[in-house]
Order: sequence, then structure tokens, then C-alpha cells
Amino acid sequence: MRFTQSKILAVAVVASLSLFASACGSDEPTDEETTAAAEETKDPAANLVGPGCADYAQAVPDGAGSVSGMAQDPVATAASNNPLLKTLTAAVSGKLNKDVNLVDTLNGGEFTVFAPVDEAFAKLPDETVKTLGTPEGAKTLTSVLTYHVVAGQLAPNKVAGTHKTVNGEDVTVEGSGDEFTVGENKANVICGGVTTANATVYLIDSVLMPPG
Amino acid sequence: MSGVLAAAAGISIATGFSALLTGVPSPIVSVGNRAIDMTPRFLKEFAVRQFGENDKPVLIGGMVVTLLAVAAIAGLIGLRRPRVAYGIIVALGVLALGAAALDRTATAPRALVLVPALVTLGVSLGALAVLLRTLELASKAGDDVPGGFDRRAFLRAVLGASAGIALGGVVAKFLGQNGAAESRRNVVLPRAADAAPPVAAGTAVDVDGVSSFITPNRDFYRVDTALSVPKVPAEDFTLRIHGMVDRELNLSFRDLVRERLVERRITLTCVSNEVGGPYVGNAAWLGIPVRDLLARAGVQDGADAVKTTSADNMTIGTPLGALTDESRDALIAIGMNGEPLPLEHGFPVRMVVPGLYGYVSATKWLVDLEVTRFADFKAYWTTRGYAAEAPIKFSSRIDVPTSFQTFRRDEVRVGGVAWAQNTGIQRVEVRVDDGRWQDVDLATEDSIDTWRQWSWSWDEATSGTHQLTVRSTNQDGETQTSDRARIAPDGSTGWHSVQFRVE
Repeated sequence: MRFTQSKILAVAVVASLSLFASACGSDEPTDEETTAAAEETKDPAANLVGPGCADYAQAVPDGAGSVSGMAQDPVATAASNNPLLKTLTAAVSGKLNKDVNLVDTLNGGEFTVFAPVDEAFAKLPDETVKTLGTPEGAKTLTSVLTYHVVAGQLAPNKVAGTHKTVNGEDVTVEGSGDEFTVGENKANVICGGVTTANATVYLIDSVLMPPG
Repeated sequence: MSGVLAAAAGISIATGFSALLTGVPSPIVSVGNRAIDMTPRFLKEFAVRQFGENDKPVLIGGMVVTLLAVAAIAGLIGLRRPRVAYGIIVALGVLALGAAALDRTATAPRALVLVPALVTLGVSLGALAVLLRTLELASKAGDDVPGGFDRRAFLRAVLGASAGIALGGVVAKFLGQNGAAESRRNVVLPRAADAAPPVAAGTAVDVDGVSSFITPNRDFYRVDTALSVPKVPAEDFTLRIHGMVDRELNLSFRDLVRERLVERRITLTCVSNEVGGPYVGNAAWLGIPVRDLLARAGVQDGADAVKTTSADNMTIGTPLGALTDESRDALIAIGMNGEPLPLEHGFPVRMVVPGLYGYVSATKWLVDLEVTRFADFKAYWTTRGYAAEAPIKFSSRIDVPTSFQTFRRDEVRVGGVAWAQNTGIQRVEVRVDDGRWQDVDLATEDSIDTWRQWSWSWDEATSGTHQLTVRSTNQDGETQTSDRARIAPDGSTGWHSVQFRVE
């Protein structure tokens, strides 16, 4: 019996190898097996960390704002489809302050984005948000937003540590497993490792403030 | 396991068959083609973005994994309830049959196209039946097989047959592939009777990071619907020109090479290019003016469109006027940057039309050109949310700075490209933050059909974070709109901007 099964296995392996080889009927040097494996790691829900991922998946099960939906678009577009990121979206797209528009910049290149959810912005004093919308506040808003962005994509197993943000200042991520905090004021990662077409996103519960 | 084996044996043998029959795709590729055609537009855009040039291998890989998983489940169920297992295999077979019957890429007669799917079905069912029985007998009799049935011999036979046929398939595929690649290696392109002048000095700016003026073939963007690149040896090639013409023409590759060849540098743009996106490229194309061939065929009154078809049955509709226009160098192209077309860029023959997005003009693996009326047909993308006619919207892009790039204060030098094919770029302006618009240094214009590089130095740069925005004006005096439009239905618009820092 055991012998039979291993024989069957051998046949199956041979047969499926031939299948891979013949399905790869183009001249491109692409290995179907590695492509299939790469696809697995591309599974947008595969690498999520954080206590809020289940709630998020339940709140936004499908559509452009869901985990799989966000994977389809470049990060600024993806954020704009996420119902938890309305304020952030307004802030990066010139809607909070017409002098601050980071849509093309964030859509070009590869980044890690710490994305404060709407409740995080709600925790800020009304005065602060109002100021960020004024011409005088543009510089501050830009500084705050760019402090949430790190060049390159950091997966959850690489995110802990100190990273230079595109603002120029360092930000430190601490923790492991499902518990991560970001920055001096220890913003909690609600759900992280959300992939978009060009960036990895960590939803956080407080707005980060650059030092100085 | 028996289910996996049955399906794998079926598919591999069928793929071997399809490799031996020209114009008959493997069932896997047929189902994939059907999937591509039925995929909603947003998902297709997603696939292009997510997987880039790997979107097709990913689709095939994903299908193979899914298929094997379904087959494994069928095998497991089969141990207890054989009928359900057969049902699943039959369902997969019917799916393959349906996809084969509807496969637009198949060029062989329909009956022949169904062969691989039928083979899959037959072999899979047969293999499953025998394997299930073997397992059943084995489990009843331990390792002692009843007389008259030599299990090991049988397994060896299955192993031998599937390995043999699969090997045959691989070899045939390999040979078929080499057929087109070999054919391409043997093509010697003649000189153009009307060659493009050498690229003028001054068409390139001296800013590191700006796209090279001529895009090398290996870097040229590829966006198409071909799951496996059509393999068309030049020796087997015929271009049929027919429809509303006085004389139908059937031209071999050799005929085309003997035509009066012209060489033109033309910048192509894909409709899927977002503001600031990468789907723009510039190459020197060698080919025959389409209008020469249309004049010989004799276009009849009432025609307003040309429907072109690729070897894999992708259809594209182009306004007749753009092809007969004396002032526009629409080409039936056979060469790209001094080489025969690369296989993935349409070998042996494609169309190139300055000023029209690729999906309405740039048919690759071109085999059929029908003079007709827009009212009488719908092209591939027209049925999928894109406009029937789509001139390229002129645009401009910042290549330097890249996002958040940091400069020293005395070294803020930026640059990029602007394109307005068939019209020409007259002016490019940039502004920093919400400052005034300033003229950039425009590189020498190569032709109105090519992109134009630009550069600019910010002499009074101030430290801090800044935003650079670019806009262009075409030779008709129109300036790019700031209104943001998505890529569907007929191309994106808006001013590209990038944030950068000065130390």
C-alpha cells in the first residue's frame, strides 16, 4: 500500500512537472513554480498582523477598500477607497489643504506607510486640524504626513526597528507578533502588512508627530 | 492523489497533443484566454499593475494550482464516492471544452480545437477509474494483488505513457518555440529606402535618471492580452488585406520585405498609462506605410475603419483616415530599433500609428487587415469599457526627481519627457510649490511623433520640502488640463507632480 502511494506520488510529480513545463509555453525565462509560489506570498491577506485585522476584514469584507481590494491600487488610490482612512485621504490629496498633494508622489516608488485611521485624527484637538488646513499650516501638514512614510516596503517581519522616514527624521517601531507600536507616542498598529500595488500599509490608532 | 494524477495525466497528454497540432492551444491556455476575456476591466488593470509583465504566468500558475487542488479533492472523494469524483472530472472537462470552443486565439478548425479538451477528459476519466480500482483492490488485498492484474506493470505503463507524451509535448513546444525564434534569427532586414536621419544631437538632456531617448527593446513596456506569446514563423506568415477594397492582397513576409521600406522613430503610449506612469516608449520602426498597401488594394467609398486581427485573434479598430493620411507615418512594421520585432513585440509583423493609443492601432502579430466601417464591428477593448476611437492625450512626466528625492541646494536639476505624437510639443513648464510657471529647457525635437526631453535647474533653490509640477503645451497651442481623468474610457489626464527635498 505504502509502496503504491509513493509510486502514485512519483507519477503525479512527473506528470505535474511536465504540466508546468508545457504550460510555460513562452520564451520568457519564467518558472511557473516560482511564479505560483510568488503568487502565494502576494496573497494580500497572508501577512497581516495586529489585533484589529479581523474586525477590519469583517467591517470591509470586499470591494476596493478591503484587504484584497487595496492590493489592486497604488497606495494613495487604495487609501481613498478605505472607509477608515477618509481624513488621511483628504490630507494627502489636497482636500484638507490645497497646497499639499502627495498623490502622485506616493503612487510612484515603493513605500511603507503608517496610516492613521479617522479615529486617530479625531483624537487631535480641533484647533490643530483647522491649522493644518490653512496656508500657514501647509508646511506642518507636509512634515507630519511625510513622517508617516518610509522608503521601501517593510513586511511585518522586518518592520520592528528604527527607520528613516521620508521626512528625514527617524521613527521607531517596537514589538512583535500581533503587537506593534510606532513612534514616541506609541501609536498602536491596528492592522499592518496590508499590501497595495506599491506600498505596505500599517493602520495605526494615533497620528505620529515628528520630533522638534 | 489519484485525482491529481488523473487530471495531471489528462492535461499533460492533452497539452502534448496541442503542441503537435498547430493553432490548437492547450486546454490550460484556452481556459486562461477565456478568463482574460471575461475578466472585468478593473481586475485586468489590477493584474497589469500588480504583476506587471508577469501577469500571464501568474494567471496560468494560479489556474494550475487551482486545478490540481480540485483534482486532489476529487481523488479523495473518489475513494468513498467514485461517482462524485467522476462528476468533478467531467465538469472540469466540460469547462475545458467550452473554453476551447470559444477560444479566440485558436486558429485551427473548431473540431481540431476540441481535441485537447476531449483528450483531457478521456484520459483523466480513464486514469481515475483505473487508479481508483487499483487503490480499492490494494486496500482490500493488502499488498497481494489478485491474479490477472499486475498493478506495478500498470503503474509503469501510466508513468511511461504520461512521461512519454509529456516529453513529446515539451519537445514539440520547444521546437515550435524555436520555430518562431529561429525564424526571427534568420531574418535579415533590408535597409530602408527612406531611412530615419540619425538622432540629432541635443535630443537628450544631461540629467541622470531621465528616460533614454530611444527605449531599448528589452526595456520597452509590454501590455497585451496574449497569455502565451503567439509564435508565428516568418515563413508561415501571410498578411491578408481585404474587405471594402477593389483587390484583396495576400502578402508573405518576403513580399513585405521587398516593399519600399521606411524607418521612423515613433513614441508609443498605452491607454493604461496613469498620470506619471511608465507605459510610454520610443523606438525606431522599420516598415511599409499602410497607405501604400491600402492604395494598391483600392479602398472603396463608405469605409471609415480598418479592423486588424492578430495571430491570436485579438481585434483592434483604427480610423481609416489615420492610416491613409499623407502627413502621418502609419506603418506595417517589421523592425524595431534595427532588429526584427522581438517575439513579444509582435514578430513578424505589427502595426504602429503615431498619435493613437496602442489598443486602437498597435496590433501585434498582425495577420489580417480588413477595410470596413466602425458601425459594422466592435473591437476587443470597445466591448470592455474603452472608447472606439482614442487619440493619445498629450502629456508630460517628471523623471527626476523621484518621489522624495533629496538634492543639495546648488544641485537642483530636474528633468523628464513630454509627448504629443503627430502634433508635437511646443512648450513645457514647471512650477515649484504654488510659484509661477517657468519655462524649462526643451531638448531638440526629433520629430513631432517622438517624445521630447526637458530639463530645468532651480537656481534660487531654498532648503526644505517642495513640490514640482509639470505641464506641456502642444504645437496647436493647447495646454494640458489639470483635470484628473482615469485611464478608462480613453486615457488619463492631469498634471504630474512629485515632492522632493532640498538640503
